[in-house]
Amino acid sequence: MILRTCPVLGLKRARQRCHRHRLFPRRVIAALLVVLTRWQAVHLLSPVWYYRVLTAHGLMLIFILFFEMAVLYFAGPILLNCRLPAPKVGWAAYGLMLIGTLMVEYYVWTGKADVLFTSYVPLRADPGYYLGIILFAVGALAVTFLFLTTMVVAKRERTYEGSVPLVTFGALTAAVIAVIAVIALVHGAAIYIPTFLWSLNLMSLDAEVYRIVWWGLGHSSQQINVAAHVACWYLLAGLTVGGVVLNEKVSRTAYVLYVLMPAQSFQLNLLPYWQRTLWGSAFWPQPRRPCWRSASVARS
Amino acid sequence: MDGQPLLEKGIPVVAPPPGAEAYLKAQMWTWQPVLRLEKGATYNMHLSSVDINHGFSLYPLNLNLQVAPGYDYALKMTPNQTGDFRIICNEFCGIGHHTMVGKVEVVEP
Repeated sequence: MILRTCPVLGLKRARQRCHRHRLFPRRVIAALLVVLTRWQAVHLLSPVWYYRVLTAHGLMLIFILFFEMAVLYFAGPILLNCRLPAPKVGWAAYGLMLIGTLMVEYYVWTGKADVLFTSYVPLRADPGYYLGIILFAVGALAVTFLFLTTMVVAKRERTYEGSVPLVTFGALTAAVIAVIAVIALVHGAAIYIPTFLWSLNLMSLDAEVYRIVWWGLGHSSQQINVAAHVACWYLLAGLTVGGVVLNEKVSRTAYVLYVLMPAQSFQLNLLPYWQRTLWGSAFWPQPRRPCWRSASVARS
Repeated sequence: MDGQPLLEKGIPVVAPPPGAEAYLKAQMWTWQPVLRLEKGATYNMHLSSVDINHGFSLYPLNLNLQVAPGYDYALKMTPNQTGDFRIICNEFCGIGHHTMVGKVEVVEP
């Protein structure tokens, strides 16, 4: 594989296009419309369109995962100086996420899924809406496993020494939470599978069961975002002002807690915020090694 | 009394005796009936939905819970002040959600 040296990071990386995932600008417009509608002096939208736009806007909470997946590609192959084990799987996963997104958007904007982000059963959307979210979740899960595989490959091929960089560790946290959000304890996005079958009248589904299981996704999926963006804070602190972490063990311990808390009890989702505030603000930045490099790179 | 049910804007008004069971039904998009309760009396409230998830939110108090179909949400309630209280559905329940309200009146015994 042809490698080039990144001018910013000073790391070798494959000569390839950057993964550019972006949210649609219309989502920003959607948010603005919601505000102008709630403001009674303007009251832009009819109730039907208000709820429709609100549904599309709320779903951004899921589609923002495109960014988290981009973080995984960055924190994996690039920061670990390693090859991407199966690029085709990556593209297939991206395709699934894209198709899923387009399906969901289609059903929402054509008025076949006015159910808000929570889509509480037995409020009914078109089966295609649930299928779209399933495809998206499967794609995101595949990217996550690709990232975990990358970590195994990097370890086996010794592309780094010592422990993985803190930013990669943070991304790993996000990846683990992503797996939890989708499948662990049969909670999270997995609920969309019975819901899809229910929408086809193939099975019954209890409203309270749906609600409780769904929130395994609702909360945990936001922990993915937060874990990934804290990792980005560390990265940007290092890249922009040369900030490094006083005590990486503390940061890493906080990340581990971050996985354990939402995993064991997603109702207690206040706790991770408390950890983040306490650990995140008190222990950086101090001169040691850059958090986006592994120990050996920093020493040289 | 002429034997006809007491209606308020077409919705029946029910005054359960103190200590009795009081039922509230959520349905797209009303909370029925209007309950007339006595201050200081204790009631066993039963909240149910007959179609989809609705929200029970009692204003101006800060009392909120979600009511999913297929369940009986029972709570003991003792009103300690008189007046009109509004029930507002605070869980999206379809296109008429924002019009879904109900009423509880608390009167002196």
